[in-house]
Amino acid sequence: MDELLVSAFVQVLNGFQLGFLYFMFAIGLSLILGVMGVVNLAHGSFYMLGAYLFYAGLQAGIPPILAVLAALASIVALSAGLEKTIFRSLRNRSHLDQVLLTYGLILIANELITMIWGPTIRSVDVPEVLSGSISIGFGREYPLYRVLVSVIGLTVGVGVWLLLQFTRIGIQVRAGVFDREMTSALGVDVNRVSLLVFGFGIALAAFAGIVAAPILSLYPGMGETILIPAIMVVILGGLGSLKGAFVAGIVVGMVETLGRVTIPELSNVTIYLVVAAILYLRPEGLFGARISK
Amino acid sequence: MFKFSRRGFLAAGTVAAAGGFIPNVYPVRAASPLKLGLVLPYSSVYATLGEEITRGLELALAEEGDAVAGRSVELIRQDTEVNPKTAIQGANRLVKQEGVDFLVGPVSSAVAAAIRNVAHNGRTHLIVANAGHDGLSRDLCSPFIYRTSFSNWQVSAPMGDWMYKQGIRRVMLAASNYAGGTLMLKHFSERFQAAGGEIAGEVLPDLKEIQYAPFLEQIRSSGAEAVFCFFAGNAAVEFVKQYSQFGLQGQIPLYGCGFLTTSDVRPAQGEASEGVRTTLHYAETLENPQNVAFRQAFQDRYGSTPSLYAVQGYDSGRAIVEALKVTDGNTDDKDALSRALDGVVLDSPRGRMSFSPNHDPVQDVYVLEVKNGQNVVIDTAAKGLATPTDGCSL
Amino acid sequence: MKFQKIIPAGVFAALVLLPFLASPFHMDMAIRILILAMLALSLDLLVGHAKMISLGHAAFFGIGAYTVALLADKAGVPPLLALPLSVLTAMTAAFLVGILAVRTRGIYFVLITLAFSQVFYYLIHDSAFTGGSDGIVLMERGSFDLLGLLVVNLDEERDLYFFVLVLTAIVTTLLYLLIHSPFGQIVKGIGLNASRLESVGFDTRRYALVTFVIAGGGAGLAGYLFALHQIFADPTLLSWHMSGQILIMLVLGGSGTLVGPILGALLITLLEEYLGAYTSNWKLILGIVLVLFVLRVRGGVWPWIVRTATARGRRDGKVQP
Repeated sequence: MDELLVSAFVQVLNGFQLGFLYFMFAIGLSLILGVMGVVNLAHGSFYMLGAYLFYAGLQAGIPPILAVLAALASIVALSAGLEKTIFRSLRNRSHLDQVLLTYGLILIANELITMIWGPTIRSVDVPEVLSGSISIGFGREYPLYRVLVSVIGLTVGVGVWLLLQFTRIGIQVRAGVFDREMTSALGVDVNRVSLLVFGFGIALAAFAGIVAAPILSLYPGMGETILIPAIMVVILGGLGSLKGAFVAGIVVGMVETLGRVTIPELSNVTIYLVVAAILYLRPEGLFGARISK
Repeated sequence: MFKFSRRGFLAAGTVAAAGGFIPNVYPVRAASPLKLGLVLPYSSVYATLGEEITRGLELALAEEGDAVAGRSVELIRQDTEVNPKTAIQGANRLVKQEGVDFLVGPVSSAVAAAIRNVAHNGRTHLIVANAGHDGLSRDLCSPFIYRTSFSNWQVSAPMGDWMYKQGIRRVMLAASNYAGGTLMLKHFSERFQAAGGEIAGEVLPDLKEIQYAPFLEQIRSSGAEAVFCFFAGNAAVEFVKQYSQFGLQGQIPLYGCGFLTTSDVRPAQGEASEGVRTTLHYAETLENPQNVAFRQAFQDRYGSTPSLYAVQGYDSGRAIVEALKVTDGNTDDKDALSRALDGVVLDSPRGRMSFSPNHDPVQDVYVLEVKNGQNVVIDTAAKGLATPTDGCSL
Repeated sequence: MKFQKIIPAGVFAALVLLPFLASPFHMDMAIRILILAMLALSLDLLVGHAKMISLGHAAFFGIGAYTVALLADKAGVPPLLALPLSVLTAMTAAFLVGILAVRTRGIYFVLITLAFSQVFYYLIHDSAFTGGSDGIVLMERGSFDLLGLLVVNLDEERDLYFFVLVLTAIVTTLLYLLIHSPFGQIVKGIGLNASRLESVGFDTRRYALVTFVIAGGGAGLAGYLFALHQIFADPTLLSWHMSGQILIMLVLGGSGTLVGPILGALLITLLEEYLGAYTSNWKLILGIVLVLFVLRVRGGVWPWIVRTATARGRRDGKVQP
């Protein structure tokens, strides 16, 4: 009996870890959707790029912290360029155009990754200093790095919350989610807000990729694997809602993890059924605001 | 009247008689090149396997001087992208437009099922160089489909008997969640349970998933004496590594289908693979003269050590060569070609190999254990094993 | 604009003659294109007219395919009987997704259709009954006799070709009639301004649901034909990448028109076939084309052709009918 309880506890820890990862990835997607009104299917591609650039940095012998910063910096620069050229105009285009353009970006990103690093699956080792285990009681050990992922996720969550609540730009972002046209009419520089939100959201996606690299595999198309659950998180939590992304992220991560070990045959469909049920009662998601477009 | 000199008559007679002895190796019609259509993955995750099979095939052809029964050989590569839809289109082109004499491949079982009808309806021989899809030698068998690799059943069921014989009674199952994986587990379970063993449970991580933490946790708390699993490629690397990281190596013995520790994944697994036992139809350490010669020839030609997949490609080439020797290079008479293939017996690097009535390889299945980074044969799980023919009426 | 009527008629005539002129390989490709055209047309009803962007259309395509495959494999059901059943199961699935999806708008609709098509993908992929990831192989297509007049043997490529051609022509005609009917006007109205339509008293949700189900049925029929043609069905038919491909066909060819989706299906197939032979990185080129296309081109290839042709007509000083 004891053994089963400890086992369940470990699974719950695993669920949190996955949930925090989903949260980190989904919050950017949610903000871009909510503030810019852009369906960015290529969000996962930045996640993938972040992971691969980090991997490349480590392969080149760069110390982990520097590799993380270098990867993030390159991606932020890339996103700024993309925002100005492509994504800014997408704001005013139809959803069909957005879907197709970002789908095209997915194709390009996957092929480029394949051309540079090949199609074989790669893995990144957990950096030495973080590769230990910590005791969680009952004589059981749990990998330190996985605990760190949850801690990082929590920190990011708190950080974003602080930004949104207490900075001017944060308030503008929240206003933009609530009603884009009105916000613009009130004189807020929507372009600047848009650029910052996009850059920040993409950086979070890339950061999620970097954090996940030591525990998930790297392969072309890995972005789409996390995109689908992230979309569930965004739908469930509500567009543009930080609280929603947090709660929904944990829910999705937990359902997926626990579902896998309790009902493996149905594990994949469970989350969709759960979300369907919730949406039937509340179509805007748990914490969703009225959509402004 | 012409003079018949005795000498002239003798000379003419000798020439005529001698003419009868010239072997009819070169057919009278113009020898068209032998076209082989390779339906293999050359992009995507299995690309390295596609290359290995191709290399093995090319080596077999090179050993014949790149000419089979007087015909030069033309290889046409058709990337399947491990996508059944793409593969069907490619196979169609090879059969209908290029008019290939043989199709060789594929790696994935889903692709194999997809192109089965292209080969069968197109009356073109398909030499299956990897895909272990059981149906190909059961309800989907065909006069034109021959397999030089293995069937899923062949490399999983024997372990069920063997593990029970070792005294193991309670086993936990694990595999990537796709048809190939779940079927391997099913074959194993049937034999293990029939012998009297008990299955403690089953974990099925996603094919591309490598976060095995939750599953390893389940394994740990299952109370099983051993684990039997099926993972291949990167999944195999990660599962074995994490199995060790979680402290299960040495605690709960790990068994599996041979793909868990093939030569392409062992280097990345490192120490974690020590002691892992698997069943497979080939081991690099086999000491028969064919294997020694093959490994040397491969190393000389390509500068790398051959894997199981190279062997399968090599045997595919050899099967084609041997069959064509019997038909004198004739590939138009498909029935004769099938009869020739039926009779092929190969001294393969894996041991002796022939085709069963349902066209699967009749071969030995070995029990391997990783010792000091090498797969060593510790026993033979089944000698000359032929796959069951239920559903096939060849 | 007479040429807008002539060209389709000419194309149809060419298609009828094709099996007698082209090689078996090209006839095979033509069958594939016709099936994909039907699939694209079914989606265009949603995307081009009702402006409901569904990213999960492939699910209904796959369900149609699996229905005929399972019926043939497990129950030996003949093809003609399997046809309405395939369409019905696809429509049922579309109904189930639809009742939830039509309660949402805009971005949510896109995301929900994507998410719920995944349910069907996983149900089929994870089930041993459907053959899992290995899919199902049909042994033969079967044959039927047409009103006792002639026997159509679908295992003969030519008979199959005409079967597909006739069905595609029927579906195209039905869609044309639907779009130009009062119902079609309402569907277009949903696309133009749903809230205004609602304020005038139309239950747009119900109309949207009906449209969604009809589109699903069309996809199911295409799936039925696809499985019959390839004599194989596997889960990748339901993947969202397949859904994306159908959308690409629409956008490239020109959505909102009747010819556009058909042209798109043709273009994509040719692109895949001939570009794919050149390089295994053809998807990179497709992606770049897609991005540039969305950024630069308004509409699709067919509207561009129409624009160019009518502009030229005007330049010649000819009077437009």
